[in-house]
Amino acid sequence: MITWNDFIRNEFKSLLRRPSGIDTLVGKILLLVLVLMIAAYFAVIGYMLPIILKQVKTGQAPLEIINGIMVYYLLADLFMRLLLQQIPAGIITQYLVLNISRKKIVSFLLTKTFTNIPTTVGVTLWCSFSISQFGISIDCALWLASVLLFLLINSLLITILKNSFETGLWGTLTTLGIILTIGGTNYFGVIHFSEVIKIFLHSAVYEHQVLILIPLALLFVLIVQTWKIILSATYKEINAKYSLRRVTSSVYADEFFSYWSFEWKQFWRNRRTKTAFLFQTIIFTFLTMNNIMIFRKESGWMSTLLPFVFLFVAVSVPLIFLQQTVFLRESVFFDKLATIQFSWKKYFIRNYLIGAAVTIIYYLIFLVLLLMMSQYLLVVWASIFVIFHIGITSYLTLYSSTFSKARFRNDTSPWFNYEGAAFLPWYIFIIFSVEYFIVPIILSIVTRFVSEIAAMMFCLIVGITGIAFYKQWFAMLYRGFLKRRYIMMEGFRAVS
Amino acid sequence: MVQIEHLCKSYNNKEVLHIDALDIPAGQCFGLVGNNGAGKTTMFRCVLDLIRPESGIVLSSGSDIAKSEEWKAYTGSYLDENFLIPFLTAEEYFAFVAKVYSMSVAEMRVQLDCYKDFFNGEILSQKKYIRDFSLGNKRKIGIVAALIVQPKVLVLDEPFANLDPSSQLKLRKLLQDLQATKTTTMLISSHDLVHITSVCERIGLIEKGLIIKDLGQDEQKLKELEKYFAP
Repeated sequence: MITWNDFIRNEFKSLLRRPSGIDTLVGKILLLVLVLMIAAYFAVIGYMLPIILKQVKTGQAPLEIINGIMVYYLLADLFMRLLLQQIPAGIITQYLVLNISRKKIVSFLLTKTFTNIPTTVGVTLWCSFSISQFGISIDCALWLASVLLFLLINSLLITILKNSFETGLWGTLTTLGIILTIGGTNYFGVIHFSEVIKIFLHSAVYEHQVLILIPLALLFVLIVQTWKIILSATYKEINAKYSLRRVTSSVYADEFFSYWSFEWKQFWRNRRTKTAFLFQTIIFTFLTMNNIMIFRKESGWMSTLLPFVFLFVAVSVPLIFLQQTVFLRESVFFDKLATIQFSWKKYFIRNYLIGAAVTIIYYLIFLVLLLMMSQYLLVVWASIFVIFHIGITSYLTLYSSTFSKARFRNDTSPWFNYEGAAFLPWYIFIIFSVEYFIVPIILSIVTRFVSEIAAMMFCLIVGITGIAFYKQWFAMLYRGFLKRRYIMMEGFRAVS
Repeated sequence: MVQIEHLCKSYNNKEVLHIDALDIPAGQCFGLVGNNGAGKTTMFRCVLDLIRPESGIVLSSGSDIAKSEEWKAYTGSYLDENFLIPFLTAEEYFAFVAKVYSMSVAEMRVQLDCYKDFFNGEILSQKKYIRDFSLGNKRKIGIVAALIVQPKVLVLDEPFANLDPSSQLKLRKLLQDLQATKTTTMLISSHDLVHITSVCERIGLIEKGLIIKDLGQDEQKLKELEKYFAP
């Protein structure tokens, strides 16, 4: 008989044997490094959070502040889940016709519902924060368990909200309505949700431990409800409905249009690309507004976060850029282009220019903002980043796309889903990570050993050199692409 | 062995399957033929409890397949490549299926040996994942995985599709041999009239969700089918 161990082993195989190179030893090592790096990043943020919070000088202890704003974190977490979390029913089709009871399959899927990126990020972040506050102790474990409890409630809640309505739109609107209502009423002091959350976070540590039974009871009710939803999702018709809608929305034109309109249709009729685009736009808008608010309040501690915020946005720029190049990896598009007379060079250059244009637009918006706030050092810093990005990193991103052999399923999430599959292949995340850190790393190293001016000059010169030699870049890109073209096509067939 | 009673299935208020009564006795090989979209796969999905019908029941060995899961222990099936686990090698997949059906590794090897000829040296020891096999070889893997568990009920959706001519003939022989033992009840759909008439002793002709003809054991069934599908 099959055991949970077999399920988990299959899950790992599914993750580690994904196409596009992760099944190689180097791929696995890089993935491990990436996972450790991301985990370390959040762990460091969590650990450093009290130090940042102390600068607020409100007289409150960091734990008090975090308990007070936890409701906003949980709402943000719910929002993230709205975008990222899918019902984990995809991989189990194969199990349904085998001698495995549906009950066991549903139990496994329910457990999978708990394990996802928002939960993992939350646990990593708050685990290190909790340790920084309580040390390794029972109190630390209890506080973390309370937070985890709310994260699990979110995880189940979003599954229910997204799957209880006839269309996904109602689920999205209801979730947004809940987020805005709770956030708004709390912000304007109509209902103090933050105080309610605070009580539960305190009760675990200090007194009224019995109160923790309330979220536990809620968790239980949600588990029962989610069980029903997942059970119905294991019937093909539910999946069929969703996949049918997705496939229909991303169906490729029967006839080949000119690649411009074709590409646009492929983008716009594809739920994944639209979601990723929407996600970035929302993040960008939020961050921009957030920055304006920060400067208006002239809050010192928040201003120190600006470079990080800027970095975050700067990372989302290549993401938009990558959405252009990702079409290369869409087999249908690729195969069609491969069988007709088509200028790949123009295609690459156009994508490069689109990416550069988007970067510059983002930069200009920030430039206005930074100039208004008289943040001249950041203006210089941002300019260098943009030049470096256009000259070096965006080219490398484009180049890396020619290595991909992956074919993406139409129902794949824009980000990692439960099956470990994503709209963007895993190595893109490695590139993101490099892009995220490369400029700060160069700047900090050269500043440390020489000077800040020298660091800026160095990045500037490298960036300008990259732009100046764009023709050579593209010649290299084109040669590499031609060399791998047939491997890519074979790869498309192989993983189809 | 397999009984269908008043089975109805609709999509978007359009009825795609309506079977009042169908009884497939134990050991019988029942073939299902019909044009694209006639309802063959939908019927098989209902039989395998993959979709919920609006009304009606499917009984396997007398028990409702939607209420009891005992049928899974003696049913082998292959519908399409989505039912394979793409990131496993063929050996791993067979081992997984064997484990699910509580078979020992030795039993599995003995069973696999029976299909070596059908594999044609292209399946085992290939050091590649199922996703990297051709469509035809994927189908072979799926069919053999359904067969190695020695099922009492075997459900195969278009098993001859994508197979090379020699593999089609080998599969036909395998199914004919299995049918001759009368130990397995088979439900097979196919567009290949020659193969299906040579394997199945009884053929149902399905059109727009209805079984419009139930052709029994007579010599004329191929001619009758050819006449029906003639343009």
